Amino acid sequence: MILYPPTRFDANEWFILIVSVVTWGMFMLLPRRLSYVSLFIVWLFNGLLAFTADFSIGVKPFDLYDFGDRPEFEWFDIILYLFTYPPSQFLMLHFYSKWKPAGWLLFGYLLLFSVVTLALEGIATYWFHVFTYNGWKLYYSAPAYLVIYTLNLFVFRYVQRYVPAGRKS
Amino acid sequence: MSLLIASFVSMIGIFCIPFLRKTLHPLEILTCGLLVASLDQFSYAILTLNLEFIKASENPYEFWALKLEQIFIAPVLILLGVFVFFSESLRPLGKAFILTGFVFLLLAVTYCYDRSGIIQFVKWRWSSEWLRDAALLAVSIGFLMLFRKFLKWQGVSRDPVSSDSL
Repeated sequence: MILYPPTRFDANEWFILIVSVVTWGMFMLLPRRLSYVSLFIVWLFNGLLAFTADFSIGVKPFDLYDFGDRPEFEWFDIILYLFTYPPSQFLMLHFYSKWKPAGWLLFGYLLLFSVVTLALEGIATYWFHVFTYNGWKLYYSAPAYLVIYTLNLFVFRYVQRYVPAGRKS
Repeated sequence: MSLLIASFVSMIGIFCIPFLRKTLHPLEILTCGLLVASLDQFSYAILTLNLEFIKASENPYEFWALKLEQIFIAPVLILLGVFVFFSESLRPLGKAFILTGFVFLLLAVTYCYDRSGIIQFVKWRWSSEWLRDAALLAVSIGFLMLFRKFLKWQGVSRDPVSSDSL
């Protein structure tokens, strides 16, 4: 089969759907500050990051964690990559463009988002079994999230260089 | 050894990227690169994990060499193909020949990985691989045609850095 359906539609699928709807809803309710170009590129960038991470350390020879119901690639993995992960980056960039923190404040800002995302991963793993660790530890994800948020910020700033002023935040 | 070669080829590819700005907008290069790297990994994950048509080496170094191909080498080769497609100085027939050449170049890269034992075709054929590469190139060209219109609609129509300065 090209893409597998979930073996049972249970807690992890509901978690992915509810978190996606809630985070997208939160982002949609905010006044629009980010250009469609930025949103699209950041969305694509996070898709690539998720694919790269999960299909590098989540598969053999490393296989540090499993995601979803089975080790193969599922429909819900795509929903996770394209709809569950990106809104947290959009929210971070929205408030970044609003408050424009710099220096240590920016570090604290990114750290705060990393901690919140880490907590969400903990809930997803231990309560809803979205991820099953095979050697991975929750605290390994903390620096990874910090790097991911920083990379998103770099991509956003790069894209903003080319977006006309009227379309910017 | 394979990881070293893949890293070297990836670095050459990355150094080629500024050259692409003669025809492509930096955001087009970025977006198309992201799309190709995602699609390449997506199709590869389906072929190895779900369909088991291709078997990959479980040696970590060889695995990373394969990742470099998916993240840097294939996207840069496809971007070069897209560059040729959007180039205004080439005739359609010339473009068609060069684009076919790029698909064969992608196939040659896969052949190198196959010969070095990093991947092994189980139920996958070279003709299918050729089609996969051609489809990746076609999707990239189609995507970029739409994305160019999207950028124009958003008012991002010009690269502020002159191509003469490259």
